[in-house]
Amino acid sequence: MSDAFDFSVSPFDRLTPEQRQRLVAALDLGVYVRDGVILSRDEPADCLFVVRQGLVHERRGGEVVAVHGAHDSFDLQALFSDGQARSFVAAEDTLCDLVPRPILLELAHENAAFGALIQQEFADRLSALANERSNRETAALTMARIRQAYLHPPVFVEAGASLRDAAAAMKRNQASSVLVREGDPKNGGPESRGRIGILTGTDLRDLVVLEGRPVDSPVGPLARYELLALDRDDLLFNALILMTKHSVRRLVITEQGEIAGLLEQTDLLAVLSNHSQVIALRVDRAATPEDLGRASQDIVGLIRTLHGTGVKVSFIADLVTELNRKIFRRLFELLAPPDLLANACLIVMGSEGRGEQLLKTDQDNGLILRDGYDCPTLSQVTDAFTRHLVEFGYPPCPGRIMVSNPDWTRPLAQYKDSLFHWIHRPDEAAQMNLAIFYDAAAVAGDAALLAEAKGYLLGRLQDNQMFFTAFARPALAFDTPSGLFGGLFERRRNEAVDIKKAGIFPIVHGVRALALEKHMAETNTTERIWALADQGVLDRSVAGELADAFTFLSTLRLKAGLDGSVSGTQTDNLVRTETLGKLDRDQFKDCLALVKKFKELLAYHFHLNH
Amino acid sequence: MPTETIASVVANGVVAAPAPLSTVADTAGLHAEHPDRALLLSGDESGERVAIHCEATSFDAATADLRGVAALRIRGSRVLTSQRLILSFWPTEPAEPALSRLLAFIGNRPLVGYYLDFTVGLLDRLVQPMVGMALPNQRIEVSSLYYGRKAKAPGKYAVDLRLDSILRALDLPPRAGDDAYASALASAMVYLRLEPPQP
Repeated sequence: MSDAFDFSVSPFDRLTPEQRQRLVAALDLGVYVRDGVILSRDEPADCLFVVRQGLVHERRGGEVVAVHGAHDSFDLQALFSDGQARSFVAAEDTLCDLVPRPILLELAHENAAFGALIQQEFADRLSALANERSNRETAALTMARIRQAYLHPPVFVEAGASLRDAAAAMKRNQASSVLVREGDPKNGGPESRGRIGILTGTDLRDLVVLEGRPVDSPVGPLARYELLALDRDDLLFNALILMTKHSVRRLVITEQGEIAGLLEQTDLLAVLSNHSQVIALRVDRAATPEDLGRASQDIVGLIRTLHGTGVKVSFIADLVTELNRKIFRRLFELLAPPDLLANACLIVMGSEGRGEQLLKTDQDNGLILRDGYDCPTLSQVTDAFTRHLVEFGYPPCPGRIMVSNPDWTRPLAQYKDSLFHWIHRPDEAAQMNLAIFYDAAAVAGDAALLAEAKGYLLGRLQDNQMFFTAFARPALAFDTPSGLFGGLFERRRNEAVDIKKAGIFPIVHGVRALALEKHMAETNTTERIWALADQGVLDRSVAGELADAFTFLSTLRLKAGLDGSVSGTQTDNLVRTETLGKLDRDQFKDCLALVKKFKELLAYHFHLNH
Repeated sequence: MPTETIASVVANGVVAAPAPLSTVADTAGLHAEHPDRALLLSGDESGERVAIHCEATSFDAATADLRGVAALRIRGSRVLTSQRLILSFWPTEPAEPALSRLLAFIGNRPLVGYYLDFTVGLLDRLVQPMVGMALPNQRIEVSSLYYGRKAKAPGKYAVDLRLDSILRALDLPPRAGDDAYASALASAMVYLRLEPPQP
């Protein structure tokens, strides 16, 4: 059967007959049934999979990012590095020839042409992955509409007005240009309405200062009448092209044929410079906490732009998480002495740790110190860190889970003590602490410290059914209005629903409890859901619905947050169903029904009804 | 011992099989120190299975002469074709060295095969006199797995249990030949398709 290996396909066609024989002799055969997991998340591969028959889906999160059919091979990346956040699942009954890593390396070493092809494929895969992210963002920005940028209200002067009048109008309206309306206003009538021209501050300077025209000459003959105009619903990108082509710095923007305002180049660039890479660059270059503060303010603009162009919330969350963590890391590096950096691990917990933070919510952070290390200026550093974050607009945590609180800035051994207490003497506060600590992610310093603390936590949780029952219970703490009470829900339509308590929290906490029970290393809720599906804890279809519902509810929450606040802090979690569109409202109800179902699953799984 | 052919070994086996219990116990005592015996009786820890198939001079396990054996380990979802064991038996050569290799390869792993009763019956005739007992390994008959699946769906036709038909019905590649290796590989694939390992 081994002769069934197809050597006509690149890169295997480069092998010599003798090498082919050796390859065939080393092959194993993988037999997978439909929906069987071939390579799970983070699983390192010991061989290259070459599909002989069937179809394999490569999944990243809930999405199928690639489909591999006969003769396709995967996963070169996993062969050379573990911890790939993707899984391979058989979409049909599948057979794979398995090329063990040693023979692949041996052949690549011997046969230069074969090795080069393998290397090329590897490089292509990596760059494709790297491009994917920046492409999605760039695509979103090129889709931005002029509507999303700030428009200066138009300032009109009549053609008969003098240059001085024009200058006065500019000054009065803080405008850099005026529009000149030609034609005799006394004659009225739309058809007699003349052309409209523009006169800019630069024109004024040239005309009066350089050419020496008297300031009382009328503007009518001096204005330029070839206006560059775009509709308000046109793409921002087109505006940029038009400006560059004609080397002008402003465009007239019309809406239904009427002049709506002027788009200045600076405002256009302001929208486009919300690009995450620009912000990231500024964070990296920040020399003082104040620089960081300004970069941090721009994140809100980025969220607005991306959300406005319909970018998926999970993607925005990824970006914002990365930027926030960059800011935290940079701030900590600016404040902490080098030896503290080397002997401590700055962690973010809760939603920040899960990477689900969109708008600025309470800061949940802590510091794990190496045992035996003592920093004399520790309290100054931590106080300054918290104070600066508050200045940047991250509200202080009401539970005081912040580095400035000595309870959360402690040596590793004391963290372990706390974990022990939280597990073995659970009360409400301990449960919460444990929950947010399980979500922790390392941001700066030595990540091994957090890894050790988490390892200790998971090691302490061996088959402790009582513990998990208590741990999972809060997921049912808040009522989810749905199902039987749907009718009631309709009647209470005018009452706002707390989307966090009714929808998001039960999903986050329930998934967290299931993940903790399975000792999973993931911290992100969606990733946890898919990892649970890979392990067979959740049905794949249930996992899909749950992930979708979570995304939808997060989107609604972001919308509520963006509408509810100018500063970009998340304070309002209330969704008023009457303000939702019909489609959104139906989907909202479906999501709540699903959350209800998920709660029943949790109650059954963790024996919460006894 | 040039005179010890397979025929003579088989004769011994036939004599030993119907012997009363006490004799079996005695034989067992005789062979108690045989290393392969401990191997066969140790607890199964590898989680692996072995797909196995025989070639013989006829299809009657009591009289056929063994000509070849192919064995393949199955680990998780994988058939370890790279570590296959293929043995040939000749009437003029002693069977013991080859059988020893086979027993070491199988160990205590459950056996997977098509018409496994024939394969194991044939092997037992040789193994019994050598180590003092028949193969104790758990047996997994792929045709009965297939029948179990087919019988669940009501139909008026008899289930076609020929190996090639099973391969076709399960959308697996046809056998590359009719040697023992091709059949063992086919059984392994049928087994993995019908009983995929649980995550």
